[in-house]
Amino acid sequence: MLKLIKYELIKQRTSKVIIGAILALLEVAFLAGMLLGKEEIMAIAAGMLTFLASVTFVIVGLEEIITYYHDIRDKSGYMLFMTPYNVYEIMGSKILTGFFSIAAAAIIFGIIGFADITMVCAKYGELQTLFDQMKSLFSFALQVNVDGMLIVWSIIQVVFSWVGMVTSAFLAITLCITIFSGMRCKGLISFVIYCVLNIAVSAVVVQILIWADMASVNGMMAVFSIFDILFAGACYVATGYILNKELSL
Amino acid sequence: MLDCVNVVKRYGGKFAVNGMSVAIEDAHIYGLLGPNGSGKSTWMKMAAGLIVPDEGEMRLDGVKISAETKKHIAYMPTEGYFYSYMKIKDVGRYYQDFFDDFDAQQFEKLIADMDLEMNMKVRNLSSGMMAKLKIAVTLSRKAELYLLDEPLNGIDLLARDEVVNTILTNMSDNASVVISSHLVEELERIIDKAIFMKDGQIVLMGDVEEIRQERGESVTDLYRQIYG
Repeated sequence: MLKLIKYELIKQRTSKVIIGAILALLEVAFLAGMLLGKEEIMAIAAGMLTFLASVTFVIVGLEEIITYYHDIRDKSGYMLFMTPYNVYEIMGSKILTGFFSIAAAAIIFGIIGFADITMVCAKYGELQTLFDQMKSLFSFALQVNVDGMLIVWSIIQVVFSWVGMVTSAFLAITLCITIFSGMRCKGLISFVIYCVLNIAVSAVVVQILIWADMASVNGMMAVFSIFDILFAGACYVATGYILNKELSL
Repeated sequence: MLDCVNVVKRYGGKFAVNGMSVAIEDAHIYGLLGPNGSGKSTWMKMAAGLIVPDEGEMRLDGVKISAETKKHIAYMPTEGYFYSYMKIKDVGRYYQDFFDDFDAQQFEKLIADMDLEMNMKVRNLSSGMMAKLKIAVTLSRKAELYLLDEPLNGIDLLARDEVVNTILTNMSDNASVVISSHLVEELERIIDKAIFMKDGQIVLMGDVEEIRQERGESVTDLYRQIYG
């Protein structure tokens, strides 16, 4: 399966190269602004880095989904499905590629963000005071202790949620191309199913959390993460099952 | 070798393959003949594991068509199918990564013989060059069964002899080849068994020499008779 992952990464390298280049450029701008005392440049670069972080999750997800769509619909899909792997291995490689990509992005942006904030706080002591006051406010108003564990759980939850959304998109596309292939509004039906599945899973988890009366935010993040992974697993199994019965390139 | 029993594939209300049963034996070259829409490509894709039949079964040496059989079947589709980002050398590397029976040296030799270059980009290849690349990469595998869907499409008259010769000299020993083509005259000189398909079914199948002797006509003439 490593070979499948290798070629999935190659197929999706364009967006990663572009994001990496922009990230490097913005970070250089941020550091230059800090060294030269140009606070406007620092602020703009910091804002754009934050924006880039959120856009990266969308772009990487979209590229995963679009690549799968082309693999299952276009003739280039023969390259993938002629390989001596079953559909579960093929889909598994796609999901793992996406997971590794987004986890790597989260770690890289996390490290850069942590490093930049640390440097800024070291240079501007008053910012550290501001951050401490914000932490106190969260703790008092929302009963949320903003610490390292919360940040880690937040990142984990975002990554797992992303995996769930991409895997359910794979399922929707598979339904569109196979079972709904003869229908007129197959794209719309598949999109509606995708939205309903994701909303339903979130609604179920929220209900469980309300019923469990969970006080710990970290605990809530853990529950969300577990359900996201179970949801992704169910979508993966369903997609593989459908492809095993209905694959038609 | 390849057993196909009552295989059916429907698209909507139309049968692409309709109850086809055939046994492809070792060490023969089969011509799969028929007009557009007769089910040749669909049948080949089912054997290659790219289409799942609605009914019936296909087995290679007793093993159901699956990831395992893909290791022993080399399929060449009609269309160009390589990833557009690839160069010819990347295609070779891809096949080498996934297929243990791929011979990289043979691939290099076939590419050179066909006047192609390893650094050529796939998206810049003409239809003739693409056809040659498909042949080269498929025949560089030492497979048990080769499925060549319209291998002579897009290849000029002079190059066809070269391609036909390449097929005959590079297929592995004891392998079987199934070739589909509209160019029946070109195929007739190399095939030893003919399968005529119409509307997803086999209308006639037999040894080419026996057909000629029993019916007193060539495969080409028979083709005109069946589909004319």
